[in-house]
Amino acid sequence: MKLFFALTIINIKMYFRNKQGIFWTLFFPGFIMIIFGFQSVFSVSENPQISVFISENPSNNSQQKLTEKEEILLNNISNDIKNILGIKTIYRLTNITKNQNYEEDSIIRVNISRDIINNTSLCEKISDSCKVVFTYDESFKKDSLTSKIIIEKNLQKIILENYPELGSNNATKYINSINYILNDEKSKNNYKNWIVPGIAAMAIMQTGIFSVGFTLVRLKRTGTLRRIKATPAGASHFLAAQIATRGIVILLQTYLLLLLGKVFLGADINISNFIFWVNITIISLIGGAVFIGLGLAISGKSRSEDTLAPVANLIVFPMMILSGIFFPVSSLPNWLSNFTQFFPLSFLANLMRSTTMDELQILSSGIQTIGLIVWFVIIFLIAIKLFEWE
Amino acid sequence: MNQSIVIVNNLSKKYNEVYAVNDISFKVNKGEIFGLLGPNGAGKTTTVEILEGLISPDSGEAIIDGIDAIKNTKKIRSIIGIQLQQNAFFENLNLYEIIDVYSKLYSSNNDPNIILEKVDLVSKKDASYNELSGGQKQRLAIGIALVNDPVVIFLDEPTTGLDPQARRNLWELINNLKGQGKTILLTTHYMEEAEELCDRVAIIENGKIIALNSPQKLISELISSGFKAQKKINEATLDDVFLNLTGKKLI
Repeated sequence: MKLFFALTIINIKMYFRNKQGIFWTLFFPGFIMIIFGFQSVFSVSENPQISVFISENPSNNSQQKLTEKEEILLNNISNDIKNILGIKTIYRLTNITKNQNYEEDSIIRVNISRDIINNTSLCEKISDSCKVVFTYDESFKKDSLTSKIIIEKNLQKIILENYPELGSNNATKYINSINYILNDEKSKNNYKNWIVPGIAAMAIMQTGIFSVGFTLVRLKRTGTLRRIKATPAGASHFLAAQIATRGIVILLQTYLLLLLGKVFLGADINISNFIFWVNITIISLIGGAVFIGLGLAISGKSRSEDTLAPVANLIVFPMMILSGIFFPVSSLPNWLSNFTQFFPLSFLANLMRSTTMDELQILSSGIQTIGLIVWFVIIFLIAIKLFEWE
Repeated sequence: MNQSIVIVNNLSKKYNEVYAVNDISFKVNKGEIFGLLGPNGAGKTTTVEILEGLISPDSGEAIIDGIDAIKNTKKIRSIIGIQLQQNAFFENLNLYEIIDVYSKLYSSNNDPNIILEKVDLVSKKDASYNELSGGQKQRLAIGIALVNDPVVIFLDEPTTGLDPQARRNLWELINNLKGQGKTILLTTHYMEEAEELCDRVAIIENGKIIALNSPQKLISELISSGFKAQKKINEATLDDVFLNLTGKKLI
């Protein structure tokens, strides 16, 4: 044990003297995270959906059920949007009072006051209490603006039915004078909240696979590992110290990336919550175990970096692209996302995200954790089978 | 009269049905430099690595300082010093730290400074492995072989690939070790090296020992069998010219 600690300290020293290693494990993911975070390159909604809410009139709070007019309006809007935007859009047409939480996932959130639809004295009531709140996700701008037009058309129809004497030109004027509140602040934040934990998960994979895999292969190729093996202590202590060092690096790197995301990108991460850091530590260590195991497994049979690199890339690239790091898995075709959701990186990214973005949900997080542990067992067995000292 | 510290009996090792080591037996006496001499691929390294516990033989026995070297590899590793043919040490540590790591792996309390002094690398204490010349790298490897005060030191082709100066320098170091009472088993394919260093040599070819004696005796046996060298031996060689011009010692 004393030897293990001594070797771990030496390994940490070696790790932090290796400028290249530091660059790839810390600066590179941090850099990618900031670039993508600032640009909000991709959309983030897991299940892109358009929500139209009919909001309660404060003076008329007895009515929970939708009126006939409201039903018609919602049906029309929903059918039109479906037809024009295609099947990918799901609508949640609902009464706002109990459904605040549905707003989270929506690319468009429209909140129409009941007054506009039902109140006969509309013309006098274009005021603050009679507004349409239109919130959209900037990354779905095209879909959002199309939906906005559809909603306007339907509102116009309702107004014309109530006030046929206005004529369509005047009805349009009324629609335009309704207060639209365009709000894209939240969706921008959404992407930051999406990319920061995603990159933290990706960095764990990179450190596990590249830092463990390549270091071991180099030690094998140069004969360093063989020389260590020829000592009375053997190489197992040294290997254990290597793994421990990578575990420490993975923790440091995850903490730093999350802090970086908080400080530079303003991602919603509750860094003052102690439990949050405990969760992050546990998740990072489980994820780290999986990917360090993967690094060991792929370095097992490789004799040089040249044979390792293609194998490592073959594993890393599909996972980086298809595990929902940069964009949601739901934007992939179904047959593909059904498959990629079982990638270890998908599990890890989902766990990271559920820790940073909302309260950890026991059930879904449990499934993700079990997924990771299953991967760990599989990879560990493969690593034992494949690992060669020389 | 001589106490044998390494005893090898009928050692064999096959790779893919080809004998790398074929029924080899020899003894190394305490305090001598014993050479395994032979061309590349003769089986020298395999023999040495069996003794070091890195390769397990198919048959035969090896005893070092009274301990079974085949069954008790861990114990053996703690009493022998090793310099492997392919040496590499950690890139991001300085020499002091590298020796310190190996002291720990050997559970030895030797001061790395003393080791560095023994192999004349004190001035390179803070240098990294990659900053060393070929000769210095070999001296470091020999230094590491000394961290556990071994009873026998195994040197596998210690001077291969070195320039003549560095080679002479290393010979001096190896002779010094002998002077300190160390037993050394080395492999080489340089005849002059065997002649310069070894008290006795075993000549290996195709995994078999084909001759075993002191270099002088092997030469006189050859001469007494009626052999005559084809050319008159020069009083000096080009090697000597080079050394004379460039200076004998490494700076």
